Amino acid sequence: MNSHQVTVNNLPAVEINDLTVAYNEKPVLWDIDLSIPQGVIMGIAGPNGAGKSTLIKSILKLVKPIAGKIKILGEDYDKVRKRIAYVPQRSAVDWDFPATVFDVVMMGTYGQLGWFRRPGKIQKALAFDAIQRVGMEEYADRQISQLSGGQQQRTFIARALVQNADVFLLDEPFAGIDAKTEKSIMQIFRELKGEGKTIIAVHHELITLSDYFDMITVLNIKIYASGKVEDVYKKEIIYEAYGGHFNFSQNESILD
Amino acid sequence: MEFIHDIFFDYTIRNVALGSSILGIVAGAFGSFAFLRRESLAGDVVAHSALPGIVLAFLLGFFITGSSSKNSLVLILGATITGFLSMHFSSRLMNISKIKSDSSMGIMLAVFFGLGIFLLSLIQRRNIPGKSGLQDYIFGSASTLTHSDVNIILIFGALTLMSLFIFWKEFKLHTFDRTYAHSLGFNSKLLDTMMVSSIVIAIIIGLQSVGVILMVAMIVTPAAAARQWTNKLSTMVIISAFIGLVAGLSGALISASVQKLPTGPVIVLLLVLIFVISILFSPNRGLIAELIKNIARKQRIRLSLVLVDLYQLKIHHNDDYNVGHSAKVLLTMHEQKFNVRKSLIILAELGLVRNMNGDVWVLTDKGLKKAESILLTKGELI
Ligand SMILES: Nc1ncnc2c1ncn2[C@@H]1O[C@H](COP(=O)(O)OP(=O)(O)O)[C@@H](O)[C@H]1O
Ligand SMILES: [Mg+2]
Repeated sequence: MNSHQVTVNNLPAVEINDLTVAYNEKPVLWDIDLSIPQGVIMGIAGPNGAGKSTLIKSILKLVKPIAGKIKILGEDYDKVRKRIAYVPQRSAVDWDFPATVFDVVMMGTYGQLGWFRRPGKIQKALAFDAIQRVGMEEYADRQISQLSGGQQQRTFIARALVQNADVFLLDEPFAGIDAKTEKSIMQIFRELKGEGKTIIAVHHELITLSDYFDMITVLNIKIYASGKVEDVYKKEIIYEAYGGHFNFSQNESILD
Repeated sequence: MEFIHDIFFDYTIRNVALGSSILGIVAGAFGSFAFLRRESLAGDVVAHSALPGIVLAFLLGFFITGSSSKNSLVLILGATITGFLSMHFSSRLMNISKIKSDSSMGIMLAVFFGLGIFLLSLIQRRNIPGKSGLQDYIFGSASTLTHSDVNIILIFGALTLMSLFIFWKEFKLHTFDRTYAHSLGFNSKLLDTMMVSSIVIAIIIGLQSVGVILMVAMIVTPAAAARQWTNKLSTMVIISAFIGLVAGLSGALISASVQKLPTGPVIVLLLVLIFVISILFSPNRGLIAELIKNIARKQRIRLSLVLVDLYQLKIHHNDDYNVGHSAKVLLTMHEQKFNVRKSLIILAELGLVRNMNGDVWVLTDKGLKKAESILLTKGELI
């Protein structure tokens, strides 16, 4: 497997065709077509309940779609699983779980290890490198319940970095964290992009959307627009996708 | 001395000691995972719903063979089947109706346990040999453990503990973050099945000695107590298993040596005692430690408030010569709900203020710096 190959070939990082997902009778994603090239930072935007998390989970085969086809780096997910790293929503886990930052970051090595094999010296070194990369070395032995929101997020990102993946899928990495952490996480994203990696992040803060991302997908059950920031970050598109839930008077100025 | 001799050589006591020790260890270890997965209620449902399975298996055995050999393997099988069935029905009930999971589990618990009691009362009126032993499954009776019962506990206990050892990394990952685990290629349905089966086995092997009503305490209480003492999963599992061992063994021995004392309640009382001690006295998460921390924090807020007030007075009055200010003035600044003079005395002990004469207080250099830094950082306290 050529996981060290960073040259961007022509294959899209993610290619989705006719994807439809429903948990109950009501579709959450409807006939989605989406192509995300390699080496970009892509933001997935949309109001609450738009299906952003579901889209990420579909790419990872964590939910079963009713219809549609998804290719990652030109292959089926199972074939390229080790080249993909997932950062779930921070609120998805119990932060009072008995573990330290180091314990959690170590979990990032489990995928390469597979069943039965136990982590050793190499894995510990990898975990510590990742902790350093997100600037958490002081907190390596800290109990995770004693972390701030930003520190929790950096722990999660370190766990994904350990995987040494080519495509990163992050669910709301900027939700509920301080501005300083937000900047440092953005810095890491840009470094990863410089290494030829692809970052796909769910983001619903409209104000920072255009600063942070090269490309944006506006989603609300169906896709309203997807492409370069300058083509997509437009009043009409956002308004249409966010519908009545979007308070225009407050956000209008940022969209001009 | 005689008692220790009995543990090794008295048939009943040796069985009781061995059976309940293994049971305590297994229940404690897997209880940690049930606790962290927030599945205590599910454990209670499985335990209660095992009763009709036990009675039905007994009846089936009686009608097929014509004799009532209380083969515990058959009874265990019956218990497992109805235990799983009620879990299955409750999740079906949740899916087809709008009933929430706790309610649907509660309903199934009541239905299955009720059925079990009903079947027991039917048997009471018939002349079936060996029927009286079935009553023991309600509150548990460790002294009825036979050598083969102990062997079964030993085999199943060893199997589950071995799986815990082999799949430690996977169980830990899955319990903390199942979707992430799945994204790494660890099938979460498979891991769920493995973990739930282990927890169910830990419950079922305890039913004879602890009983269906109180078995859930054997699973949850050691884990809840152990969580108080550590922030590391491996340590938590070990402490929890140890608590289970201590309570299981001593509870079973006590009840076996006192006539007509059911085992379940004795073990549970011991567990609750350990739990209460843990909740109160554990060094970091304990209530008393928390209380002390809170008192100290409030004290620091009070001291900081008084120090800053004194500083404000000094600035306000251009008090360059440090003539100081009286506590009376300080008292008028806010409606302090605490003893300002006492705070001043403590501040003086810390070397932050100095008492000039009578009621007049002045900031020391150290106090001045501290007050400035408190005001600068806002969050900082003394
Ligand atoms: N496991 C689930 N079962 C049923 N409905 C779900 C599930 N997960 C999400 N949904 C529903 O699907 C819709 C989209 O959810 P989600 O993808 O989480 O949206 P977003 O991440 O954009 O806020 C919401 O209406 C949500 O209630
Ligand atoms: Mg979401």
